[in-house]
Amino acid sequence: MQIQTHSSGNRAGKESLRYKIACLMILFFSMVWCGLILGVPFLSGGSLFMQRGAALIRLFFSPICHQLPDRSFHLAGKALPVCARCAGIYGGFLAGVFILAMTDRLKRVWIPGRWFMVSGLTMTGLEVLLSHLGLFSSTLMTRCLTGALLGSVVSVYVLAAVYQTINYGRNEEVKKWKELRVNSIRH
Amino acid sequence: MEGTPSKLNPALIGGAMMGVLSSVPLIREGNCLCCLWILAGGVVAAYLYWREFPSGMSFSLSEGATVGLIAGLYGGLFATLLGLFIEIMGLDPTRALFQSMMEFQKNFSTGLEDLFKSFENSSVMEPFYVLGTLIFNVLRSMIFGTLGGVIGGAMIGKRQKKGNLPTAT
Repeated sequence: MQIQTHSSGNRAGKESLRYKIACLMILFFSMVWCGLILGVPFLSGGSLFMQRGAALIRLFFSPICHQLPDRSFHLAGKALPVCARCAGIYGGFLAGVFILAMTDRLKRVWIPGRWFMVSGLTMTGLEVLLSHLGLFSSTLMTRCLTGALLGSVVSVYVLAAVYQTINYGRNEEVKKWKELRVNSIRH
Repeated sequence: MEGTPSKLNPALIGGAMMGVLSSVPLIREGNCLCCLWILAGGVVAAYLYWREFPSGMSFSLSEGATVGLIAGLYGGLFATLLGLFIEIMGLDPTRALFQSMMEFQKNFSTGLEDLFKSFENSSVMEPFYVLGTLIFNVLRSMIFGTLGGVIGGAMIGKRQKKGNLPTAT
């Protein structure tokens, strides 16, 4: 487990603010994404304009999800535009970003090791494999939960990547790169 | 980013992989599994970029995300161009399937006459269609390519290639 810290100071304060703004932007985008998914069943029952909007949203998600109705949650009698697993992934990502963005972790950001990503991928992969082999009967809820686990795991890494990008200049590795470059120019 | 290896080649290779797999008929349906091919392209781009790092340097998540984002840009462009080429050359089996369905619906009422009429009249070279496809492909590939790059960076972790950091002599 790696924990990066930075000391107080004007520059550190600006970078903390930038990181917070970036987290909020990602949170907003995730909320819009999930809102579109949840809004389709309600739009489908509205006016002609709203129905066309629902059809467009469904078309938008069609290249990234199989949209099989028997594998999707239903709201207001209509299927969501994504399957239960995808809904879980997006919902888990939103929940992860929300929790990390709202807690005050600006001075200490958790950048997990490889094991964390592997565990998230393994749970989902196992669930898919076992259900295909007939050793486990998946339900909408199991697909959603494993998807939510994967989505929340990915959210941790995404925010860590944002933090590393914003704090790039203070990174020890970057200082090594700069030293390499200066040395290669001198010789 | 100053001093780091060039991201061009890894991004081009990852983007080409995304574009080809997302355009070839039947194979492109893999993207229905949460954009599998685009995520895979991002992971491949991150891995190839890591391979260009000198020994002793570790690979960060932001490096993976950046190269995945650039790979997504190239992937979206490749997917659009290749997809249009496949449709113009008539190599898309789904179009042949639709044509046989149109023949079928002429004999029987299926309730899908409007849909088939719009498909019959559509032209793949309409500017609106091309522009919409391009924007959608690029946006989708950049978002999921970045995620693929982050996943690739996470899988690489703090693994470093063997050897010491090169220093000037």
